[in-house]
Amino acid sequence: MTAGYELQALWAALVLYVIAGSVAIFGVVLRRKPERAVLALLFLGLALHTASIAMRWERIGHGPYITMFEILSSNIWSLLLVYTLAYWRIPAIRPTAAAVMPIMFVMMGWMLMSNPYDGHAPSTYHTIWLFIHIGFAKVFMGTVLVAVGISAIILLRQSRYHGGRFTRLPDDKRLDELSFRFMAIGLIFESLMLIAGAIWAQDAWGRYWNWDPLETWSFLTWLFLIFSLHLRVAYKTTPRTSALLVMAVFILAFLTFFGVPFISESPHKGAV
Amino acid sequence: MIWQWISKLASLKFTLVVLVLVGTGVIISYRSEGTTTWALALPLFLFSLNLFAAILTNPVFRRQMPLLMFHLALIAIVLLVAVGRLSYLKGRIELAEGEEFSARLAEVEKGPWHWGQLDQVSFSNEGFTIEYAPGVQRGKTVNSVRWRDEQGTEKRGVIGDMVALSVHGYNFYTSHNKGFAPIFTWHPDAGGPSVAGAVHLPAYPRHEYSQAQTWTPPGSKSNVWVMLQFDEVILDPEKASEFRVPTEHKLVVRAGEERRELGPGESIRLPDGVLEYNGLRSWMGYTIFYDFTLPWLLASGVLAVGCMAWYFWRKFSVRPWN
Amino acid sequence: MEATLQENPGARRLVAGWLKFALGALALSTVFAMLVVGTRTPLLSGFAFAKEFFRSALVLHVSFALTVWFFVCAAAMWTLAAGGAGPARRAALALAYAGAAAMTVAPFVGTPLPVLSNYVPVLDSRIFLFGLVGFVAGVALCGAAATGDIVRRLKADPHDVWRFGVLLSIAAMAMALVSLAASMKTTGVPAEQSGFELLFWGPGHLLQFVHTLLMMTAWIVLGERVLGGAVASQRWLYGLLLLAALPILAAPIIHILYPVEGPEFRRAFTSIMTWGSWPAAVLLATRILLQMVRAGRAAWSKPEALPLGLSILLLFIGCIIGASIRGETTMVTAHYHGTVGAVTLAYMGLGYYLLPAFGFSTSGGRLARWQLSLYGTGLLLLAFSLAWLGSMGALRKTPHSELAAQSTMAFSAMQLGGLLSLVGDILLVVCIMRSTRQRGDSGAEKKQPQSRSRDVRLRALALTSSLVVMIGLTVMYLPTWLNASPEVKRSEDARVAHVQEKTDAEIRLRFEQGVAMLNAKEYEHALTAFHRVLQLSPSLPEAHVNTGFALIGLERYAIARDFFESAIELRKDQLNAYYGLAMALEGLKDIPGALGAMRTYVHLAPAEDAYRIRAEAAVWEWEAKLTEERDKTLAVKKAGTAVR
Repeated sequence: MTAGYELQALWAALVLYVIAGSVAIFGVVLRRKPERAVLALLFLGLALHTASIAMRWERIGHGPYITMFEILSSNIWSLLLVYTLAYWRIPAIRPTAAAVMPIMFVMMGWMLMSNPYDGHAPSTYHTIWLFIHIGFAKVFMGTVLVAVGISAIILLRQSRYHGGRFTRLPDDKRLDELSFRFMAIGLIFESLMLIAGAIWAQDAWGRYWNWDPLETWSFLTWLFLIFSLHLRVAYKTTPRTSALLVMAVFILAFLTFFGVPFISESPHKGAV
Repeated sequence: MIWQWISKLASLKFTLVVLVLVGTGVIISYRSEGTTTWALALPLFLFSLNLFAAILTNPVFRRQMPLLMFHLALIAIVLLVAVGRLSYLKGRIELAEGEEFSARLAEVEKGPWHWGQLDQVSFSNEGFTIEYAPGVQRGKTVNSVRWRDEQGTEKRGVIGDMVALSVHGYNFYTSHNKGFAPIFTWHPDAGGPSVAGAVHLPAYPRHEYSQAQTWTPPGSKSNVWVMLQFDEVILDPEKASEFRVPTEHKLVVRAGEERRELGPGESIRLPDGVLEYNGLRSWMGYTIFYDFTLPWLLASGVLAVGCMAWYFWRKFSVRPWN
Repeated sequence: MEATLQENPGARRLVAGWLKFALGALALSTVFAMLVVGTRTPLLSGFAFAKEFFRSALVLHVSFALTVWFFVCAAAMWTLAAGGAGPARRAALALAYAGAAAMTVAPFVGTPLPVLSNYVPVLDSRIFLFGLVGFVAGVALCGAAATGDIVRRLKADPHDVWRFGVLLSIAAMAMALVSLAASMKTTGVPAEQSGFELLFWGPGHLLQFVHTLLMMTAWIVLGERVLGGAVASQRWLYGLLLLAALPILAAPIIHILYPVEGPEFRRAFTSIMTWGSWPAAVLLATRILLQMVRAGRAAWSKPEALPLGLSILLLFIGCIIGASIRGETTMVTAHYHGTVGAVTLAYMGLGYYLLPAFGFSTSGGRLARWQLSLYGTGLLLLAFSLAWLGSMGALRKTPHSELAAQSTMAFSAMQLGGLLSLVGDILLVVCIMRSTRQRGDSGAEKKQPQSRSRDVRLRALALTSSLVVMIGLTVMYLPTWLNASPEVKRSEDARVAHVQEKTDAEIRLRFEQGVAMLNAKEYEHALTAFHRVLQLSPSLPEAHVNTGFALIGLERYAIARDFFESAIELRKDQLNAYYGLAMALEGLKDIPGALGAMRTYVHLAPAEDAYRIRAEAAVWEWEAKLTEERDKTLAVKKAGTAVR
């Protein structure tokens, strides 16, 4: 029965997200600023989503980090949480919702196609380091998402399609600076994530680093982020280039977190 | 002249090249099977050169303490990893229940300067259980062990999935590798003492259908093949269960022409002695890990992140976010 | 005082170096104090590492708070008084730094034994001892190098009375070192606790004179500032300082007269402290206080009034508590927290006072006042609560927190006091660092261009390496949270055996301490020790006997008799109980009783018993006495009847 409520809450949350995203997109297209409405819808959606995750957690005894369905759900939740907080506190980035929400739509669609079965948590998951590691990872992804939204605006502006819609936003340099700040915060959290992951790995598997696929790809993401920051300083890149770099980081991170665990056979998934 | 070289080495563009090389080294490490310290050692060495040169020449490092400290912490990490690779040890050993650790590891990988005291480690496996959730999903491992600490006091404790035994700097972790171990006593005809030993059958439940092993008793010329047979379902796909030794089982023993099914206490006569079967126990595979640089590695990592945060804080608080 | 800093940048840098050192030492001692406090709380003392570390942490806390902090402040004062710089002085500073660094590292290398010797607790480890020697050598070198200049300046300007105080403190230090050398001739390099105790007894006492003299010096400077004029006439001040220093002259006499291991040596130095350390300071304090009261608001509103007042208050409290010391209880701890607090506060006040002379802004008034008040209040609380606990019999130097149950109030007050003073210490560091960031416009420094950025590379390297080491050590020593360790199964028997073992160890320790005190004729201290033994082992006849002897030493014969009687009840043939009983009864003038007891002793004692002769003599004497009295009584009776 509770599985029913849990899914209903999730559906409701998704609907609210979709409405919020649609309103944001229409706002940009029609040159309006429905920012309050979007914020309210996002908060409401998050509240319902939180309830759904909580109910599921209570029911199956472990958090949303085992199956693909759960991981997508919790990542949508955390990405939107970070994004909504930024949306709320930094009005300059609000128009980016029109770019960010479509990405979330893709994830939501994927989630709905996944099997919501109840997974089993391996015994190495019963530790506080799981929460610390995952927590840092989620903040990292969230901040990168905000930067992606900003970068999308920068790129859209320079394309043929903008039609002067983004003129009321701060100029490119300012946007670029803002995007850089979010990437910097992302870097901090990604570094913390790597450290916490190593601590967890040492306790769980007896070694802190083994170049398994997930470790390797997350390190490459980190390295690429460092590379793009140094590139920015060395060549004084234009906002457009920086925006492209941000996109690249996001794609890399996305592939790392969502691709690798499910295509590899390695023990990073927990063994029998 | 030298100064110009150093300035070249210090350039950010060189840093970018180095970063790409590091990435390449990483991919090489990832794809190759064995240890590949060298693929990374060169890029990291270049990284250190680049950074040292930058510290010497780049004015930004003269003024910005947090940025410099972050990079210094990175160097500390590189150095510590290097030291760690020179002195580490990774190994595996399987111990049957009741068996004492001896420093003969099944598999060992160690750095050239590993000078640890593995032979001073005294520990024994006192038996374990592993919980399984329905659907043969492995749960918690609970392994009782007995060991002597650095002062020589005997201690008993419980280790498991996230809890390792740490003694003399070596960490012993239980693993998912475990199985059954029939215990034999070999009474040689030629006189000489009887020797007791455990034969480790292939891991269970991974090799559920091939629980057989061949070996030669010490000092004998006969090859003995044993196979474990039992009917009961130990790990039940339908409900929660526990890894344990089966209560009823048969051991099929074949040596040369002879084939017997033994129960506990029974023996089989071989050309050069009597092999007595003493019963079935379990064995656990342990991974052993030694790396004394860990605390400092963690410290450097945490310091690096702290300095990074400090640097960005200072930078970003100059102008408002909005 | 500031003039020296303003005229000579080399001197200024040297003094700054010593002062930074002092601040660091205070910070380190704070860290160790936190560990001491932590391991005494009922909560944390359950951890295994706590008990082992308590004694090491205590040693390091006292080392850095007393030995290092005070010596470094002293060296700063000496350098300040001398003015001038020079390679010898710089070498002294470097040597002292190196020594202190070695001391800090020592507890983490191997498992050194903490030796809780009085005045100068040490870790019995080569690294620590070498570090200590190096540090003291550096300080001594500083003093030696400074003496000439101080004398010269004093001759040139005798109005600067404070220089005289500094000079006398160097003399006291020299005397302490001489005493150390003399003691070492007897003890050699000590191998265990009693050796260290003997070695440091003399010098340890003499060092307190160094600190007292410098405290008085600081008072004179601060007092001048507060009162806007001299504290007292030059002659008076010279006289007081001489009076404060005079007792150190007794030291060579004591060394010549008495052997180092004897009880007279011990008592002689204790007497110097008991009678010689406070009069001059108390006189000066009273004078300053009276002047301040007379000056009224004008004096009290000066920023230096707070540290001066607090320092004087703590000295008074410390002295009063010192007068109430009756054994090895926490009363002793309370006493020296009071006096140490007084000296530290004086130094803190002086430090704030000197900041402008270095070119820094006078530190933010409010925070500094809070800092001083918190620190002072914390120490007052500590002193009071420790005194309270001491009056209830709490013993020094143990981590056992049963007293917390006995008197939660006192214990909590102690913890609170400790906490406040630690916060005060941390705030001092904060205050000083804050003011060093804001350069004041005192015009003392050569004006440097505002935008000059300092080269941070070396500092970054030093900071990074030390942080990595420190955090790494913390990770290594922090149990369980980062390094999950196996739950160790203990059997009931093992636990019981462990407790029994620890109790036995303490019984042995206290018993030995008591016997040592008995031999040294320190009866009060002996009593304290034997009381503890009896607490732990109420039916140990030897403990009853020795308690009785201690009581005899204190001439409390009635209670002594009771103890001897209970010893005999516990064991019929407890030989020395009869001897003691006889002495107790003699003290109570019960000669027949004494005779009976002594006869039993003679009867039971083996032929070669050492006291046999004395016992027989006593028997003979008392028999004679009783016979004499009987004859007298009979004679009187006869006379009486005759009359009738």
